[in-house]
Amino acid sequence: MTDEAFVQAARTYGDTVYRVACHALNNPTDAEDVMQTVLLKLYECKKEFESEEHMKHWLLRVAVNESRKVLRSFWRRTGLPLEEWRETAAPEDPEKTEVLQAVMALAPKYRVAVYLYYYEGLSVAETADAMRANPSTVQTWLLRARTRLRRELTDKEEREESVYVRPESIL
Amino acid sequence: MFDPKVYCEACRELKAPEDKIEEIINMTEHTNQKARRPLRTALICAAAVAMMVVGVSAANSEEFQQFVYEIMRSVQVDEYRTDITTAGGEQVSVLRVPEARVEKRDGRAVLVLDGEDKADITDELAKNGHFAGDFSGESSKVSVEVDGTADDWTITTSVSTEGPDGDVVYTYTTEGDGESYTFSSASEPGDIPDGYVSAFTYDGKDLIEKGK
Repeated sequence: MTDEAFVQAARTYGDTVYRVACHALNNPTDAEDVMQTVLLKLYECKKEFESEEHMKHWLLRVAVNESRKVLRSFWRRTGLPLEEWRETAAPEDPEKTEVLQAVMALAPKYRVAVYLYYYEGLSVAETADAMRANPSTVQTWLLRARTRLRRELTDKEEREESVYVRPESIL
Repeated sequence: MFDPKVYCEACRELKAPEDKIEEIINMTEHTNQKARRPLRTALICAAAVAMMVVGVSAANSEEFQQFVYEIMRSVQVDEYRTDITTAGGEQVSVLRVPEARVEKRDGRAVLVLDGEDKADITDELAKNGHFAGDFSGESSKVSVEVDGTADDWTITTSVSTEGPDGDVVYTYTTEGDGESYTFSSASEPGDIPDGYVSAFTYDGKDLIEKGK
């Protein structure tokens, strides 16, 4: 890959890789590390990409793999928190924050599947390929994720409604 | 209610810090050398120090804690190896043993290291009942030998530094029946060469051993 092609790819897909890692790791600092590692792998790889789409799918797959390595890494599992984790920059809109927090509260495999399917617009088969899982398994993950999100978000709405006391009811 | 549209709008606001992308671009521009990602060495080192102290303090040894506290810097050399320099200039390599297992998938036997598929070993196991392979980092090597079948296997994993005279630092075996697997150490602690630390996690426990 030429320097020019790499610069363009890094600027185009840096955010994409970062988002995948954020979903997998739920930690912005680790996600930044994964993004840099993945971009370096892109720079160093000798692969001839057939198209932009091909490169994007490769990046998604490598991002999932690298995030998985971090999740399983000895250092991450046993290291002590020596700095305050920076909170993921939350959107200002409360509705968006609520949805994003609900997704981030899911297990990592559900979060990544939801991200790839809904945000990146991959099919179930493409999501499965990126996550090295069976399509039927991904289908199940998405189903469970949707069920949990529906329950979580509905419960939250109900909790908020129950806190609000309509003026007439106390008269 | 989960609204995919709202979720996508929220995701769109998740952006990588521009300076992190530029850092990588600057590192790779106008060089044909292999670039290396800047490591959070201080954090990794300090975390390792804290973990190691916790890991070994119950068992022994003042000597080890002294060594731990004198670490000046650490450099992650590759996936399996981190090199540490002490205040006294001593170079120590920390080698991580990957978790190995065989998974059955659609009738195939797949060798998995640290959760990553490494090789389809179905044919080797069917033909010879044995598979041997090396998986190298940039300067460390993991050698894996699998005996048995996809349903009843034993894996022997050795970690060494890369090179013709690489020392085998640690060997362990894993046995599985396709559903679960168990682990047993094949090396005595005394087998670890001078200047090496072997650190690994199994079954939620941190285990660490150091050469004399």
